[in-house]
Amino acid sequence: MALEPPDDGADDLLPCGHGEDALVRNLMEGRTTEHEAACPYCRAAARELAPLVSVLREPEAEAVTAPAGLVDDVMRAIRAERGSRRSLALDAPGPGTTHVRESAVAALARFSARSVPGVLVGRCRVRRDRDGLTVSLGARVAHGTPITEAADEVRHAVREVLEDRLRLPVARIDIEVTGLIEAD
Amino acid sequence: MSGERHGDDAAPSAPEAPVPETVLVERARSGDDAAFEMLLHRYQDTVYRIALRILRDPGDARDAAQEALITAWRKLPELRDPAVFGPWLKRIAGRRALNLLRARTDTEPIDERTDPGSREAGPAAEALAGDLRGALSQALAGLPPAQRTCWVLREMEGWGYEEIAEVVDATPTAVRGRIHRARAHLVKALAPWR
Repeated sequence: MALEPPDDGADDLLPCGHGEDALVRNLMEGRTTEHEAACPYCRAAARELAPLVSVLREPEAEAVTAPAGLVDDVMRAIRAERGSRRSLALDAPGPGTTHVRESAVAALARFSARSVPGVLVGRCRVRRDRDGLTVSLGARVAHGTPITEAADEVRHAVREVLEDRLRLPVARIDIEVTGLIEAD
Repeated sequence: MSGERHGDDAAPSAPEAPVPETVLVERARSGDDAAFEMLLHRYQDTVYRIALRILRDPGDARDAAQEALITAWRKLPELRDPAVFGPWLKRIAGRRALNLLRARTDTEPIDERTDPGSREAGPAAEALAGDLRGALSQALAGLPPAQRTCWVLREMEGWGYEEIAEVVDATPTAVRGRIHRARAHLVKALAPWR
């Protein structure tokens, strides 16, 4: 308490050998052991601790409740993050199942677009619903590359790899050209 | 036969009977968002309260609580025993709050930890003058982050040394020492109210 704080961190014993923490626990619960009632060290410590103990014992004015929207914000963040973790079941004769993470499917799609000259695919997301896969990707194109033709080639490459190699029907492929590749 | 009770589940729109928490945790761990959301509703007040008590700022506490809950979702696969979800989540909350407190303390230009005069500084202190709870608040602000966290978790949340030790990355003995030093500081600060 008012004693020098020890540096080894271990000694929170009062000179009488009673533990400070045990004393605090008892004070907070409003009970006193025989020793604590009689011991001058414990009584002195209890007097010093009195203001602190009184705040701790006094219930807070109102219960602390989480701010509105906290759970919604967390769930939104989680769903956004989960997008890259979901797995797609492949149609296979079995027995057993084969799953591919959406992120792996997206990586495959991104990779397939490398065959198209003058196109650099950045983000690529894959979603599956009743109609099949929706692939959405962002691409940069080299200056001078005809964009419509290049997009068609990307679509063709992506569709081929997903439908032929994974046998996942592709419903649509959305491409956004996000910028140009500077010519060097 | 207990097996026959499953027949009651036939009506698909019937609301599910209360599910034990361990089942919710198992579901959440296997990717069931609805189960995780139920756990969030159950624990959001506790997590926020821990963060608020450590940080003493509602905005920071909200940030810490949100980070803690997202971290819990990410780490859920590592949780071996679903029965200890509550204490596990609370430890994450304590850790996030301590980290934020440390980051905030590092960016504060004035080291008010060793300056008892900062009690009188600012309009907030004035408004709280004469208020014991306010004085405690001010005194807590003067404690180093780890000491403050140890004290809050012990005295306000009632945690044991071992649990606190995991949050602050120290031994239980060191935690005991920190709580002792924190008490000494607070007792001194509250001396006028004796």
